[in-house]
Amino acid sequence: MKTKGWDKVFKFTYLQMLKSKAYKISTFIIVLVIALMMLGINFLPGLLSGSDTSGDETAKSAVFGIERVYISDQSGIYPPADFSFLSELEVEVNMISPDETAEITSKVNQSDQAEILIEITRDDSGINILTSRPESQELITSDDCQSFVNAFLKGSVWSAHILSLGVPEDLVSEAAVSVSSQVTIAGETPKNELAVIITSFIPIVSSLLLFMFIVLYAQFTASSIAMEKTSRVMETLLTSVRPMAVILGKVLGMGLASFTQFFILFATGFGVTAVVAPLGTLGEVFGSVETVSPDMQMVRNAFDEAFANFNAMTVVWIVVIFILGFLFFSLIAGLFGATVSRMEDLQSAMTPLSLFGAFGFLFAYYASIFSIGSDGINIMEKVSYYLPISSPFALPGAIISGQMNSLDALISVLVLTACNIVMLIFVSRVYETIILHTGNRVSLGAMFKLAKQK
Amino acid sequence: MALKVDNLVKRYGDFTAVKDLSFSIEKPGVFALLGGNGAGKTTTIRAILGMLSKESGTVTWKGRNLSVTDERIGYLAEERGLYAKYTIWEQMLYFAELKGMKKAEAEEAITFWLERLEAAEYTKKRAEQLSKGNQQKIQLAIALISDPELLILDEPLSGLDPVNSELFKSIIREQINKGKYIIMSSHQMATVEEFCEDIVIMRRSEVVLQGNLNKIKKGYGRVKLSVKADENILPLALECGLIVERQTPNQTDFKVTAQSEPEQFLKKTIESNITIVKYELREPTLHEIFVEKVGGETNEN
Repeated sequence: MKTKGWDKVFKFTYLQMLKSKAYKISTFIIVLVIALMMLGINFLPGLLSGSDTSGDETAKSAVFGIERVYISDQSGIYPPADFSFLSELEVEVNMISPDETAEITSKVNQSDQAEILIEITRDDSGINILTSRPESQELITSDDCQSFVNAFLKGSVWSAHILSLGVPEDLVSEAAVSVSSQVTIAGETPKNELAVIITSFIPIVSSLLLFMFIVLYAQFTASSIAMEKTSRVMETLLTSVRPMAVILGKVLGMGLASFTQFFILFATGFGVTAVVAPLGTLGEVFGSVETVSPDMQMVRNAFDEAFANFNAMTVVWIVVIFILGFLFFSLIAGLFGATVSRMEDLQSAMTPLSLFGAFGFLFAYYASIFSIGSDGINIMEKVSYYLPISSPFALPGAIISGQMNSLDALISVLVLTACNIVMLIFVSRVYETIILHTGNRVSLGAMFKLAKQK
Repeated sequence: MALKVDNLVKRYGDFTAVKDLSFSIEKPGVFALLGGNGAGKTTTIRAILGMLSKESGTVTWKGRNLSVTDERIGYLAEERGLYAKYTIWEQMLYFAELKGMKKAEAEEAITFWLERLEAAEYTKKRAEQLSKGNQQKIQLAIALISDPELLILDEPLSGLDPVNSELFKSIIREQINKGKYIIMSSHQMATVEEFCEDIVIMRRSEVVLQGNLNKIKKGYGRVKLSVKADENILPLALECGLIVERQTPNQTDFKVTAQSEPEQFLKKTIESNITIVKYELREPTLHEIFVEKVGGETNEN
């Protein structure tokens, strides 16, 4: 395989890609979106929680806009539930007798104020809370009513019920403790549930990102080769270098451009996080803020657990898989790009690759989705790790989330490497013949025939 | 012997595009590769340069197999091609570096050739902003940038205005004087005749004529007679056995089949008191040789 001069093609392709308007604009958008996303994650929770205690409007929103409550307690719970705490939240509480219920019901129905009627009853099925709201939804919606009841009334009614059964007051909160269950492999520490959710989403997000950077740039490679061929630049190029040097330089140049953008994405994320984390939520999650609330400590622990397998070696694996994946798809894309003599034929020539890429991505993506909540690795995931069209999208997420050990990853990478070698041999046999072909697009069958002849 | 093409065969499936082609270029100067449309000239050039794989045959340059990656070869392709969106400077620098030139050396050469081709003002322009003729100048500059020993020019003057044609011709002359080996393919026979010493004429993938142009012409002998007269000379000419090949308002061209015919014709015109303005007994032009050798192709096609 004669590839002398590939380095010059590589350098030119890379620099021209970086200089192109499309690259600059897409990179700018990526930087902006990532920066805004990180800033949002960092500051929005603080802003929202901080705004809860300031101003009348926010106080209102804390009680879902409800200003007056009529409560008819027909449950027979004794001592009855105490709702006086609602007054502190600036909600007017009116306890009414069952006789007044009909009158209040019709009053609330026609009311133009944010008032509701609560009827607490008891039957064989348990304790029921019925909320009646005004006919007009402008002031209060059914959702507001339900949220209000869930947030403020249910707990009080339940506590009153427990107390009525003779449970001492100091044990009521103890009695309210929830019972959770988990299953683990014998001898293994049970996993943090939030960490399990985060771990499940890592392969989904990573496969999406890799699909974007691998398949999109592979299509750029095809387009670039087709452009050189159709604009007759290729003939001038071939007086200095061999066709394989052109495709190799082009594939690697585009690969580096893609990787550069991929790197910029992460660098922006890490950079913005490093700068703003001490001032907000990201610092609480990732540890730059030392003292955090118990809830935030739980999130921090979950992230620590989810990314426990992420280290320098993981980065090396991701880089290797990215290169191999890009090489695999770009070699095919370059070959398809060389089959056309007119730019308008490129899209139809690229259809098989687009289908391959989409299938590989969707296979990896749905394998990750179907694994959420399941125990261990399902068969679809396992296949996606070794199938060359899906493994570039599936492997990085699996390695980061610790679903794959180094040996399995190595085997998978070796399979992908072998496929790349086969693809390189195929391309080298066919590419030199079709690169100056003019006329109708070279079919897949004709390419296989050519490869066989050579 | 500088360039030697030996028994070159190139096939596309069942179709043979170049059939057993052999020729050599022994000394610097212009070598013409001629033929009608579809005769196989461009395929031959591509096969010589290794852009296309060949079924059999060898191409050697100074005794070694010709490799574009090892030699400095300049090529002006028939179908011009530049990167539309890149600046002239960027792409010339790229092509120069692909030829193995260092950046400083390349920049010096680019500046020289752009000035020589009167295109220095286009340095920062994108190719798509240039006219066809100016794009052709850039293409020629790219072909010459590495100071190649072997220069291949496929239809170098097509589409150029007379001023730029003269500019291109003067550059070709300079290259000849510098001792460069040039292969020229063109349909403009007058231009080819102006520069070439040796020719190959191809017809339907095969060589139909090859050798030194002067010798070929001498081989034909003085078989063409061009006459301009004030009176009608056709009856006398036909009486002498001359065959009319072409008649224009300026002159009549005859084909001579026997040495006695033109002498007899001249004698009769004098006897008839006809005023002869032009009487030229000459060898055939390259154009005439080409038409004779390739002429049937169009009809056959």
